[in-house]
Amino acid sequence: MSQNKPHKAANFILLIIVLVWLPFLPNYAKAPQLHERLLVQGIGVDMEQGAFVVTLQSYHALNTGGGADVPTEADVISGVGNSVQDAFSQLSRSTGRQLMYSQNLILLIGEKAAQEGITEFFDFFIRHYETRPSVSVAVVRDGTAYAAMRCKKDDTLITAQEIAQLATSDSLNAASASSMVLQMTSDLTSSTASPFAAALRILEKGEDTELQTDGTALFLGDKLAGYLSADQSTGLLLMRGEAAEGTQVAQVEEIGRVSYSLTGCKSDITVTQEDGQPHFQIDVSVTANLYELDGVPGEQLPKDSFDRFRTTLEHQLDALCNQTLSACVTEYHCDPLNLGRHLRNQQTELYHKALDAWPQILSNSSYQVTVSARVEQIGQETNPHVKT
Amino acid sequence: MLQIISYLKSLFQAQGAPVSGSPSPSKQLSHNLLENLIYFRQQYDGSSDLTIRECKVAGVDAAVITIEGMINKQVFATSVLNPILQGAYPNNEPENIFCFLRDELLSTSEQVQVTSFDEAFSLAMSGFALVAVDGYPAMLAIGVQGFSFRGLSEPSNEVMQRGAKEGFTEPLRINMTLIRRRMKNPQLKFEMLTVGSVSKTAVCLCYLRNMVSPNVLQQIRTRLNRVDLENVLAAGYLVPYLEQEGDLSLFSSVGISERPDTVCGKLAEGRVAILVDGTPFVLLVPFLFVENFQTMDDYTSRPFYATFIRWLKYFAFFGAMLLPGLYVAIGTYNPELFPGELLNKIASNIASTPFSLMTETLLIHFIYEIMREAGLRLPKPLGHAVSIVGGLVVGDAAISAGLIGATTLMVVALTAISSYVVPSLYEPLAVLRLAFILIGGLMGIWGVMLLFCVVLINLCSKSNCGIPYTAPVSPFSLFGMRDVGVRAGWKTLSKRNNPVQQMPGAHVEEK
Amino acid sequence: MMTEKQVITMPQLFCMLFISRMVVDITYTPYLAGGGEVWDHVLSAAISWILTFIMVLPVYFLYRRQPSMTLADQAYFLMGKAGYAVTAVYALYFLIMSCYTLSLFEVFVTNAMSPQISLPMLTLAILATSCYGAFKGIEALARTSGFILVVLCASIIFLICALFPQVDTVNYPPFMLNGPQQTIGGVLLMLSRTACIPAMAMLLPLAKGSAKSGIFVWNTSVHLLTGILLTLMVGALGEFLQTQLFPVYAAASVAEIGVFKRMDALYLGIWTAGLFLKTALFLVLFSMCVRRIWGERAGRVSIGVGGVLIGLFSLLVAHNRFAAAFLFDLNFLLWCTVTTSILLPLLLLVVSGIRKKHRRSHAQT
Repeated sequence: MSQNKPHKAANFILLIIVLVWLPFLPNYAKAPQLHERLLVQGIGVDMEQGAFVVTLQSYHALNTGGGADVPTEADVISGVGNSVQDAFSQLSRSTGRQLMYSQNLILLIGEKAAQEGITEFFDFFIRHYETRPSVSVAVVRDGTAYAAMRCKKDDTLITAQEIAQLATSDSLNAASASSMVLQMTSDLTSSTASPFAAALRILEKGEDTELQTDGTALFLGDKLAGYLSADQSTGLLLMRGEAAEGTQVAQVEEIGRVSYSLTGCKSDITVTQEDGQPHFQIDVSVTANLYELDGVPGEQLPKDSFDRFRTTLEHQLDALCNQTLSACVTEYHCDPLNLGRHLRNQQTELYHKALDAWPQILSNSSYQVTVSARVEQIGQETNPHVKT
Repeated sequence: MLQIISYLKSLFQAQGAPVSGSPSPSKQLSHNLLENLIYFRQQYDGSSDLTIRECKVAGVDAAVITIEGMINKQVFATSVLNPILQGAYPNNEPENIFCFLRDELLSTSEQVQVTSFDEAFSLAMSGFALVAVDGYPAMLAIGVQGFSFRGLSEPSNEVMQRGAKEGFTEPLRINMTLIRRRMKNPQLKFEMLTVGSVSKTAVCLCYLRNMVSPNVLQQIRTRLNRVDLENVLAAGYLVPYLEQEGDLSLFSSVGISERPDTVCGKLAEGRVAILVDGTPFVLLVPFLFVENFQTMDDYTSRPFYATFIRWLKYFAFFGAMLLPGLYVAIGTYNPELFPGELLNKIASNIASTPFSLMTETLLIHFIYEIMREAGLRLPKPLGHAVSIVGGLVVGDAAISAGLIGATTLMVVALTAISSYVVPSLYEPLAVLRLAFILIGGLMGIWGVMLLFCVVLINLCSKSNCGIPYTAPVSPFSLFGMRDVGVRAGWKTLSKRNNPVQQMPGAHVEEK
Repeated sequence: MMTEKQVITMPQLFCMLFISRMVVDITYTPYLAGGGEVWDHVLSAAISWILTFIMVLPVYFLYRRQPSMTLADQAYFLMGKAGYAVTAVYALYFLIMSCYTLSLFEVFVTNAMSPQISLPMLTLAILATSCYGAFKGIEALARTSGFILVVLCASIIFLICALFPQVDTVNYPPFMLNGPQQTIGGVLLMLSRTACIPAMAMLLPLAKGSAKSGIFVWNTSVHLLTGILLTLMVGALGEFLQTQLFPVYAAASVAEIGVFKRMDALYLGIWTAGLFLKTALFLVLFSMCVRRIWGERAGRVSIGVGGVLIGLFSLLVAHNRFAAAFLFDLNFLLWCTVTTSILLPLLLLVVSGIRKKHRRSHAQT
């Protein structure tokens, strides 16, 4: 095709197209302004007598009509509906603003709602075009999302950002396992995996009501099955290979109390067949730093101290992992460790057979947990306390 | 007697008669001095700057015609008039007298023999003195220019830190000298043309004979010959004629420079410079888009710094073009792209003002453009007052009054500053910015991206003299990137010439 | 005999074709292949890579036969006026593929991105821009593709770098876990969308350079990138992908590096540029076919006409389930692509072979 020059007919046709297009513009230009929208920062879902109670922590710019210093404040509002979408709609009716979900940081699920089954309302957070799959999820233990969203410290509302930070604090202390909408959806869709989420508890301290992490909530299917304690959550994270930080305190013979800080955790799950049943070998390797040795001021420690530190930690973590495994598999019949996925990847035939009765297979399978620890000497090749 | 009567008649007619636009193009000079002088007086219709000094040379009538203010009177007197009046002429034959004047008597370096009125008028108005001898059908034009002109000064629009401080000035000849001083090469050629049927403006094509493409040169000549303007009072008048026919783009494929060193650099790449008498700006053809980002300072700084500054300019350009539109688009339709804290601030800013984001942004832009234009035109003593009014009113009071938001003002201010990083692209940027704001406010990110595609395809479809405007970026040339993507060191740059006609995608058929 | 002037280079041509194909990948949805298993489509990409090399052979041999003539020119040369029917099929095919791409994009925008957007407005905007690009000609489009490629590649690299740390190897099941249906479906889907081969039939004569290496690089890069993106998406998102109609968009919405989060809207803006280029390119191709049949003037007018037809039909598809089912039907699309990529070029090669034989036998007698 030869090099084109602007052609009158071509320009005319383009002009027609543009003129036809212009009348549609006002339609799009009706998009609400930012200050006319309610910027949702946190969402809480409860279930009361078959109805959904939705609590929002939201922000809207006060329209004062002038002045550079416009005060901003977060609101907590609640609405009730036959579904989550219905409850949101009721909220927009009461506030006169369109809700904007794209800035949402946390999804809090009340214990009752979790017990009823999260698939009753979870679809909204997957399907809606504004919701994000990277939103953190947490369950309010022995409480409601309604109350959790209204917690105050020193008469100041705990913000959704702070709640989200609490829910994702596993990267700081491994006391609870965090999850996002994405991960929970993936686990719900899976035939074998069990969703889990951080558990938060409301603590009343005088006039203040504080939120604190309190282990991990486990789900069987979409219903809340139970909770793992803080220690068990550490075990869960170790076996998943996600324990970034965490503290373990152990009493070492002839030495005293030792505090380990866990870092660099890796986990490897191998699946074999034993008597037609799966056998799961869970190998955990962890690196620990020693930041506190109590009860040994001025004393020289034995030469084999670091070996003792290591073996003590390994025993302790081994016991912890087994305890967690027992709670997950035997007590709650849950699979937050992706055991089913590992079975699918490594023993496909057995996986297909196991699908129909997975909870039973899970309980009847054999497990072996092996923990290997490496104790760092905190950057020093020799510790002044240890005999050389 | 008859001659006197006809002379008086012509004078009478000349006073009432309308000035004709120009003499017939090829009217030749007459043998008769009186006729020639009458014609001159008719054409100038008694203009007070026409000076005719009549005298006798060896008994023969002669005259010296000058334009008041165009000549150097001292040089005229000593080098022209005195020798003419005191010369020892061999005989009183007009032809011999004329030849004696031309070949032996006058001691000026610049002499041209003219035979037509057109040439005579043109030279007289260029500061030449015309010597006419009765009985000879020619005049001798002697160069005694002495008109006043602005001295050489630092270019106001292309300020360089390490470059020369000389810029072009209004007289064409001075500009030619400035180029010749820097390019001491006999291959450098100046070719004179005249454009403008009324103004008869002198235009000079300047090129290096061994670098320029003959095809490109011929195209430029043809385009200049097609200029049908009556008056050409600035270089900018010629720009549309030098561009590709039918080119309706916002960007110009004709470059403009105020600096002799820049022009010389472009000549060495095979470009043609067009000097226009009366304008201190030189046009450069063909001009590529990437050249807008190249300055003389790039080549005097170290390569790593020059490369950094080059990329800074690229980002500044795209930022200046897209930032306000994207800000409006994202703020209106996709606010989730903003981080949470920033979003709260923007929302509160929008809440505190009575206008929508698009309206606010457009408003601030218009106010800024008004202030910029006012600052450009007003007298210097008032500059401070405008700065104070502009800064306080727009910057502070408007925000305090809640008419505009601080965030929006920041975006517009940043855009304005960024657009001055590449001053040669300010004009298209100013228009494009507004278009992007409008489309961003009405259509969101889709609109911004689609308009960007339109601008992009408009740029990519442009060419001048067969050379693509976006070369060597697209069509891509790795070799060309040594002075586009980076500013390679001089050892690399000097290895091989990169004349403009050899740019990738160039359709320049060499004869 | 109509011959084409080489106005672009092979790298430019395959750059345009690469962008055209990557735009299709953005709206990649495994449900059009009959299921939601994205992981098996990585295998499909590998198989499709090999099959594409085979599919391109008829077009390549036809190009080798007469490097300066497009397929439309060769059809006329070999079959006379009957060749116009071949050209008409190609013209229709380019229109259909443009409609397909635009319709899928509209479905994607209204479902996953901005349901409140005015579809007619968006369609008109894209088409007006594409018509403008088509009017500017293939050379301008080729130059523009260089810029768009840089931006597109930058966004893909960003996506890859953002998704890589989120990959969990446990999300990778064995291939064909639930049988080969997904893999086969994926192969058929990818092949049916390979509109670049018919495009090559019309554009190769306009390009300077080595077609062989261009085809190899284009095919490999497209399928490699598809495989990499699918691998990262599956690794990062796992079974979550089964709940998403458009997995690539889902991946873009979770991709983040530092403060750069929630960039999906920006990605889509960048990818819109790719859609503009593809639609403009196919309008040019449509116009080339019309020009072959009805002349230069008709060719120029056909750009606007083609734009209007694409707009109307894609809007119909977006609002009408029957039309959508018709256009998005895998078999329909596959047959269209196979016809224009393999059958018609083969037919022309056969006709060419027969004519050569006749000429030889005539020469001998």
